Amino acid sequence: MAEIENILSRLEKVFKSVKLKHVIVGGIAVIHYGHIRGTQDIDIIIEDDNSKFPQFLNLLKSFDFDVLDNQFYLGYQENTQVSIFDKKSYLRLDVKVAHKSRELEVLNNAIQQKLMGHDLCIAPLEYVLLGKIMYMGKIDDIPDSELLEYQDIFDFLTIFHLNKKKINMKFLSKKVEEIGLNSTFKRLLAIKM
Amino acid sequence: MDLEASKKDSNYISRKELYLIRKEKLLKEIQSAKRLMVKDVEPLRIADEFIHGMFKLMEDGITRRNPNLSKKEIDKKIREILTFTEKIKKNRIRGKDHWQK
Repeated sequence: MAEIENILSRLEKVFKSVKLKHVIVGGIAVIHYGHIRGTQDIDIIIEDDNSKFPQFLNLLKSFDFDVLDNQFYLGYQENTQVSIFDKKSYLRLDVKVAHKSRELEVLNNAIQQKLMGHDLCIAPLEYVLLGKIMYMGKIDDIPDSELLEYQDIFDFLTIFHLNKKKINMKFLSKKVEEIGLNSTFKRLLAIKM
Repeated sequence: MDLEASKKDSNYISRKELYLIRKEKLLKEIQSAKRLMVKDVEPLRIADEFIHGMFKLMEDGITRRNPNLSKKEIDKKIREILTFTEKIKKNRIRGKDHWQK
């Protein structure tokens, strides 16, 4: 029982010991902001500090994560996400070392929160929404009738309407403009709920 | 029977109807999430129970269909299924490459 809580509890201990900057993004962040849905992974972005990686990997191992050092370092070199399976559940960690500017930005703006009672850093709401827009990309070619078939669009609309009053719209609009996805944002806002 | 009549008789659902069904579902999700917020229930806690139930169902289903499998073999099978679904999901993702084209 309580696979997610169990993992979050272990991660709290890992990050407390290694003092590596981290931020939880993806499905867990979407759920945290109110959209209850399934997920198979816990997406984490960590800071690029390779002096701390050996300790980080050893801690993960000692907390029952199935870490393959070679795979982690290969992912680090190739700038890709590394999957680390949990020995205690069917969930996995998808770890990405921050290289790209958008990854560094979300890492530097992470907020420390209690997730199921555990102190961890999570992406602010605006960054979760921005991430969804980025992964949707341009949606001009999708007919209205098909829009809600996409998980990212469904996620976006749910957490957007759920947290409408709390969103810093000025900031979000500015960020959307920076990534050149204004038309996507406008189209999402035009869906009347 | 003409096409219209056969359409009426079949289970055909138009794209527009599907959109409205999905929109209704989205609205219900927002409403139920709002209710939980008022009750101060942590969404992660509910998702955790839901995900636990999902894995349990998978385990039960595989065990029933393959009564001879050991716990280790069932675990392996579940991981294979999860990896496979993830692969399908990745192929479907629109993402950055898509909008940069």
